[in-house]
Amino acid sequence: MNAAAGPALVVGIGNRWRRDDGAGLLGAQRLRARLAGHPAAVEICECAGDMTALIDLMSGRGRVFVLDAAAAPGVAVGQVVRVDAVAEPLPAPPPRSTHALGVAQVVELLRALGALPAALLVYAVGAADFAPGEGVSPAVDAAVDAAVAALFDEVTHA
Amino acid sequence: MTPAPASETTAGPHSAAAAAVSDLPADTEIGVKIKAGLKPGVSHTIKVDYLARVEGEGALTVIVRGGHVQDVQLRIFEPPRFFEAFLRGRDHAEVPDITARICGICPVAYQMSSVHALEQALGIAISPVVRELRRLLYCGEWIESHGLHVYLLHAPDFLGLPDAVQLARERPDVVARGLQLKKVGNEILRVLGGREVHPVNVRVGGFYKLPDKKSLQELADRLRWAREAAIETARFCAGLPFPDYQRAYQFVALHHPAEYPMCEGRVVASDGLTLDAKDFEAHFIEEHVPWSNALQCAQRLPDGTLRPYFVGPMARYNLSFAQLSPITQQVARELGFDRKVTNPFQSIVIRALELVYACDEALRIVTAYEPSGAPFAAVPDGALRAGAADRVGMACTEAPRGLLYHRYAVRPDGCIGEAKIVPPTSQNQKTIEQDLRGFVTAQLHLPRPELVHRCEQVVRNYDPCISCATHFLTLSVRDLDAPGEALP
Repeated sequence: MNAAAGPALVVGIGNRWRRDDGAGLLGAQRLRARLAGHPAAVEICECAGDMTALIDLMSGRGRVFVLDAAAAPGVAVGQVVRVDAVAEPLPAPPPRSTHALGVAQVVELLRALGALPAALLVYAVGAADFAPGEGVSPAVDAAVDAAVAALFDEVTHA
Repeated sequence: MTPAPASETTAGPHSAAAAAVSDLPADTEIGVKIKAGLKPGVSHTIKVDYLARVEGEGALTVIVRGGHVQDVQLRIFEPPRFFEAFLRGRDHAEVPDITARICGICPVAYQMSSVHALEQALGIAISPVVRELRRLLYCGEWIESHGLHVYLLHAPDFLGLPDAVQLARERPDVVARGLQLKKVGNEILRVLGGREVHPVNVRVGGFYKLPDKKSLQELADRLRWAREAAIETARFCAGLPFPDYQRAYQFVALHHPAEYPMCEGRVVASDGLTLDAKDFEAHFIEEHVPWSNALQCAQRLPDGTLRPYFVGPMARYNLSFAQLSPITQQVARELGFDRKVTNPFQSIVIRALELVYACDEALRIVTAYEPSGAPFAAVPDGALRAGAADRVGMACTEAPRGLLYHRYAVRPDGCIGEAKIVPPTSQNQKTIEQDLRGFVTAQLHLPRPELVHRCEQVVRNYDPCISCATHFLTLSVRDLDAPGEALP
C-alpha cells in the first residue's frame, strides 16, 4: 500500500500498438513534458500491460488521475469525459478475463477492499479505432491535448 | 498466452453466458424447459457465446440429443498469432525475448522451454547456479499465475459469485491475501528477471546478470509470509463445495526423481509411458479441427488411435507427489489430499498446494543462494560452422498450465530455421471437451442458466490460456426440437 500523502499520481493506460488505445500513454508523455521544470509534485506512470498492477499503484493514494481511451455509448470519438470514480462507479461490462480487467474492475476491487484513493478522477477519451497499429486518430490526438491541459490545471492547482 | 490487450474503461463484449441465456425468449417452449431443466429424450444445444474468466477469446457449443451429449466444440476464435513463423530467420539469441511476448501471464515458461531447447541444440551445459535461479524464476511465475487464477478467476465459481469484485465485497480479506500473494511472485520476477512482466534478464546459456546475494535474501521474509498465506489458501480452497465428478485421465507431465518438475525431467504419463523430450512428437500430435483456430493435441497410441490427455497442476501432482517438499505434503495430508486427485473441480486445491510448494522452494533457493561463476555459458566453439547441418534441439518445461514443448532448428549462421511450440492449452482441449461431454450428460436436470454456468466452470478448471493456444472461449446450449433451434 502506498501512503495517502505524497505527490499526485497520474496514470496513463493503454496499448500504443492498438491505435486509439494508446491515448492514455500519449497523454502521460505529453503531461510529463509539460510539467518539466514545474515545481508541482506529480508522479506520472504508464500502464501498458498487467492491469492488476494498477491495484498496487493506486491503493490508498491521496489524489489519483487516470487517463484512458474509452468506447462507450454516449461518448463521441474525440470527446473527453471526466468521472469522479470515488463518487460513482465507472460504467463497465462484466469482466470476462484478466485480459479485460479494466479500470472499472480495478476501481471496484479497490472500493470493495476499502483501498480507494481519497480522490480518483478518470479522464476518458472517446475513441473508436482499436485495430493493430501505431498512432492515434486526429480526433483522439486533439482530445489528448485537451485532457492534458485539464490535467495540468488539476495537478498544479492543488 | 496473454497478448497485450486493448485496455478497456467502459467497452467490451458482454459476458456471454448471461447474454446467451437472456437472448432466449422467456415465453417460448424452450423458456419453459429452461426453468424445468433439459428434458431427456429431446435435443438441445448449450451455447456460451463468450467464456468469462479465461485467458483469451473463445466459445463453447454443447449439442444434446436424446438425453446424451452428441457433440462438444471448444471454439477458439482468437486469431492465429504466427509466432513460429516470426522466429524463422531471427538469431537464436533473440528467441527468449520474442517467445516471452507470447504470454503476459506465463512469459517465463516460454523463455524456459526456448532456452533449454536451444541449449540442447547447441550443446550448452548450464551451471548449477543458473539451474537454481531458473527454478526460482519459475517459482515466481507459478506464484503469480496460480495466485491470479485461484483468487480472481476460479474461487468465485465455487461461492456462487459472478466475479472477483463480488468476492472482494463479501470476503475482502480473501481477495487481499490473493493479491498480496501474486505480488510476491511479481517481486521475484522483478528482482531476477529485471521486470515483472516479460522478463529481460534471461538468455541462452543463463542470465545476462546474476543477482547479488542481498537482493535475493531480501525476498526471504516476504516468502515466509507467502508460504503461510499459501497454506491458508489451500485450507480455504479445500473447504469449497465441489461437484462430484471423476474420470480416469491420462495425465502427462515432466517427472524428475529428485525434485518437483519445472525445467528438467522425462515426460511421463499415467499409463507408464516415459520418454525424452526429443521423442515428444513421435507420441503426441497436433491436428486442426474446423471449429477452432488452435491446434488440438492427442497422444498417438501404437495402433494409431488418438487419445486425449491432461497436462497441468493435476498431472504434475498425481505423477510427482513424492517429489513435493515435506511441508507441502504435510498440508496435503492435513487436507485429505495426499492421494490421486481425479476430480477436475478440485484443481483449485492442487493449484493452492503448488502455491505452497513454489513459495517453499523459492525460499529454499534464496536462502541458499551464493552467486558464483559466469552468469551464462557461451555457445561452444565449433557448434556453429559454415556448411554444417542445422542443429536441432527440443525441450519441455512445466508452465503454470502444464507441459510446454519447444523445438528449434538452428542454422549454421546461428539463425532459426524452424520453430515448433506446443502450449498446454492446446494439449488440454480434447480433455476439456470430454469433461463437458461427461459432465453435461450427468447434469441435464439442472436449470439451464446453472447448466451454462457449470459448463463455463468446467472450462475454467483448466485455467486455459486461449491466446497461448492460438496460437481460444463463448458457450452455447441449443434445443434442436425447439422452434428456430434446428441445426442447419
